[in-house]
Amino acid sequence: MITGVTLMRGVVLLALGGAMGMASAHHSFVAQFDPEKFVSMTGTVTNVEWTNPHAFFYLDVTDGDDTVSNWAFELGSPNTLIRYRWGRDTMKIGDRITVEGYLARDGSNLANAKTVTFPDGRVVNAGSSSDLRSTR
Amino acid sequence: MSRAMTAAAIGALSVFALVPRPGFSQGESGSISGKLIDPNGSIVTGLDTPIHLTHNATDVVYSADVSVEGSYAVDGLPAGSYRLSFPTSCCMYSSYDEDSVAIAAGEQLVHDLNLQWHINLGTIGDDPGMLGNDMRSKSSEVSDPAPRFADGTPDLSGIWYNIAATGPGRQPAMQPWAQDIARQLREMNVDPIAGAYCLPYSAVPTTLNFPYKIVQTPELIVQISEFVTPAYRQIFLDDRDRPEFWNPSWYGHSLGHWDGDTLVVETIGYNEITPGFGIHSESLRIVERYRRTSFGTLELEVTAEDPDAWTEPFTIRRTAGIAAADQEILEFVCMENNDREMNIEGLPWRGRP
Repeated sequence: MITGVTLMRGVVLLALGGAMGMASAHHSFVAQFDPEKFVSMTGTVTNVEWTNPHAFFYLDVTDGDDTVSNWAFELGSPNTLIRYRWGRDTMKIGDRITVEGYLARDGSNLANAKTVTFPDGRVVNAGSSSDLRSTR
Repeated sequence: MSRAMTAAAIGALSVFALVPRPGFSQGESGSISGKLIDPNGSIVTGLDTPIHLTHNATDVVYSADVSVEGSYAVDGLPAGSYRLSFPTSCCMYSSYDEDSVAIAAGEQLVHDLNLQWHINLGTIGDDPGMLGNDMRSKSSEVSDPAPRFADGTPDLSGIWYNIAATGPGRQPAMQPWAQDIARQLREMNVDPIAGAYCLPYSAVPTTLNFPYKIVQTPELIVQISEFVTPAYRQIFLDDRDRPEFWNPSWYGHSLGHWDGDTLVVETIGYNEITPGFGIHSESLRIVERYRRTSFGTLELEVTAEDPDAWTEPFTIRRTAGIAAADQEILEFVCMENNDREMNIEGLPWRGRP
């Protein structure tokens, strides 16, 4: 199921000068994804790509007219995900999950993953820092 | 956040008023409290950096940490108008500022802060600022004395992560020809950040908001930075000379020595396109001064000069906190899938037009 929510606020972009002390965590998501197109989808995991610099997972999502489409969702990098207790086996093919994120600007079946709800009810979002895992 | 790190984080403020404990009440004093809300209406958790209220009439600053559960409270506020400031680090939430928040005498104002996304739109596992908040040690030992080796040399070893919003440092004051090149490159590069193309993010990776490890021996210091290409950097302390032959490079050639308790690193031999210091020439010379002021705090001052491209030296300051003992630097292989990430149609990053 796909539900769209229009955000009330736009995104404030700060100037990214060459001398800025802080770097983006690889690239600017706001260049690729539209902050005005917030979506929530529930579907079945078909694949997980545990790759640098960003991991992806794929969902088969059934729309209102029973059409099944496959969607890609982009995550951060594996080294960061592991610190949020998201390991290689956390999401398995066949799992039924719900994900919230923002659609790609180019209209493809791609979104970023802001919040994921797993089958056991566990919710992972970018701020779920209390889950921080030891990396030793 | 520990007291030592809080003090470091707000060290740039000229005036700092101690914030009374929650529940403190005083005749005419007011208070402000609230929650941090993300653009979807959810509570923002995991941030523990300070919020500042500056009394507009007196410029007195009242500060308190935001809780990791996403709430804040500042008590003991005289009546008046305040500037509210909540600086965040890149890249999930933009810093929050309000010019005029009115608090009447004795008022207990409830005031939620609606944060805006920064560039990562809340993507899971993609926020170095949040990662830094998580990785830095919360234990009381951070305020212990800085360790030393048996011979008294300060020991800088550890995993460090810079604390948010310790700028300044935007662009150096460039000569007109350099300004012109900077403008041309902004129009040319799809993404102006070289690191997004798996190139170095900065000539001095310890200025970045990524974790780094210092490995120290009497004759060599190695810095290992996560998320950064290349991940390692060598600083030689063995009194060697500069090499006779050298090709200009992204990190240059670094020699270090101790000036009292301060590690001084002098680097030359940069190429003209290494990032983080605006448009510069191969004359770029950078001096880093590292000083561990407590077990958990490392102060860094970076002074760069380039008489061929700039009109004056350029300084960056950072304060890093030590990572928790159970943290480690992890592998990050930028190139693995990056062409797909960038969607740049084969365009390379350009350091010169």
